[in-house]
Amino acid sequence: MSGPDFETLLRSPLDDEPESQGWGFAVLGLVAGGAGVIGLSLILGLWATPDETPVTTVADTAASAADLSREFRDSVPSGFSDIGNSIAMKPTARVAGDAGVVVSFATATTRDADPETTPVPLGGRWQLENTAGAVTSATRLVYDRLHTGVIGVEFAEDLSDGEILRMTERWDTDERTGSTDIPFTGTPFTTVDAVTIDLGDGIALRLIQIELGRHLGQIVWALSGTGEPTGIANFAIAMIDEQGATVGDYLSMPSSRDPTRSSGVIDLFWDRGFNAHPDEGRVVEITATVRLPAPEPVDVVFDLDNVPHG
Amino acid sequence: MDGPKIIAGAITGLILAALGLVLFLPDQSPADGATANPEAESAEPTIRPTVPWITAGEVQFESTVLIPVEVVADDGVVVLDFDLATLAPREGTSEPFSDGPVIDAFPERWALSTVSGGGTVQSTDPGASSVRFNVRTGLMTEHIASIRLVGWRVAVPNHERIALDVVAAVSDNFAGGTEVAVAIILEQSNSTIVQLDVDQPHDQWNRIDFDAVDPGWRKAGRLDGGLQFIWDGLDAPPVLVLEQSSPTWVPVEGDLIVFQGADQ
Repeated sequence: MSGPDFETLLRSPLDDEPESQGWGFAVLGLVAGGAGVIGLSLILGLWATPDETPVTTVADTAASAADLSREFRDSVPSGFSDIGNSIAMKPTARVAGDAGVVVSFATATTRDADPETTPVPLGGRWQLENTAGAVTSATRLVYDRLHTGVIGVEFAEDLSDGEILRMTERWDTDERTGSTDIPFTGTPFTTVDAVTIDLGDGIALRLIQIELGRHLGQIVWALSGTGEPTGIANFAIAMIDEQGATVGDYLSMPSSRDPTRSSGVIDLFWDRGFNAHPDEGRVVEITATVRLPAPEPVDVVFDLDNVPHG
Repeated sequence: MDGPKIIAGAITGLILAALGLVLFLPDQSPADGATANPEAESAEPTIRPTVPWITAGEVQFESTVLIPVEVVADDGVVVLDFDLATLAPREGTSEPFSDGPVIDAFPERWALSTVSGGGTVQSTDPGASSVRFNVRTGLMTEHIASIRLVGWRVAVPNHERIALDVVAAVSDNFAGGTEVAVAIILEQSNSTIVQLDVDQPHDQWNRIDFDAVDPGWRKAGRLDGGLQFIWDGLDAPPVLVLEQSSPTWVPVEGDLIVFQGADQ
């Protein structure tokens, strides 16, 4: 091999002076570019410490906003009147009813009570007093099945200026329970004779007819006995097999929240889908819960001046 | 010869430096209520309730308590998220298919005002958990003077009734605008099925449920969205009386501050 060939073989790219100079400029450009970006960011204030970051703090102002909007330290919510038994009420609207005018009330628990464990008031008695002293009693109460926190009070005639709306009675809950077992022969199942459950104090709940199907069912019920009782009935229905184990349950919900009724119909829903069949049951275990109105005298006057018309 | 390399080096340096800034720049998002967009500003204007009553920062109207969760201003939109709770007593009212407590009053109308004197209004439907205001681009939470609830709807029990002759094409309306028409009458060997077309108003507040007054009629849905009432036996009444089973939502005016700017 000749000398130039050896030089060619031993030559490193770094030995090439002009090439080395070019990459040096590239590195210089890289550093300069980076410094430029960092410098620009410092000028624009992007490189701030967390303490310097503008954060909106509003916790204190929120409390003052609440102070402005309502008196949240009161024992009853704003606009409500205490009717006793940890319940407050407020007239919220007046609307035309089927036969007159309905004044709608909202209910709320007082500060000392937990809504989850405070019973819904079943109703009460209300009367209108005009400026001449004449008194007109409410003709009926209007309930919503789902919205249990509202009650409508219907009067035969529209309200006139200066009238006072007075609540004279609050209906607490006198809850009675009773149970019975009946033999089960499979779906479709319909009882022929009425089944009676004793609720005490001479009050009886008659299950006039019980129908149980694969998915649905129905109970027709009526109250009877001392004092022409009325109330809201609800049922827990368990299907029990030969070994005494629960096969499943029918769920129910009251078809009405009106405690002035002495009879009603309740729909039932099988809760197990296809996982268990009610026909596996041999006994229908019925537990009834009846909420009877227990009147308590009260004297609460409600302001109707700012109640909106619906 | 070296010029392109210098330029390439400088561009690469710019890119790497910018990447480093993005990766290592101190976190600028707020500690709480942050959003992914660093341009958005959020504020948490409330203290979560620890007892089932009204807590500072919450707003009560009727038996409902509105709990503000977060206010976010971002790219011309201000969003207030909120929860609703009820003070209504509910022992003994559990429903087998209920998701939670039933709310008896819902917020409906809102007003946002800015520190510069501007403002905008917005409405929400029942069940909403946020209200969204369109504002000028660049408006941040510190530019908000207040967000106020200026109207709500309260549930009023109503048992309005309409009576339909069981004759095809007969129709009637509930007061809120729901129209019910007899579509088809199917005479079976041992039952009668009355199929109804139901035209509900677009307004969410005026949509209603109804049932037959006579418990002999069983209500069922139809695949096409209507309803049908089934009478077992051959003695179906000639008139089907329907009764509203959901409440009427009555509007109420008010003025309650839900969010107040820091400078107010």
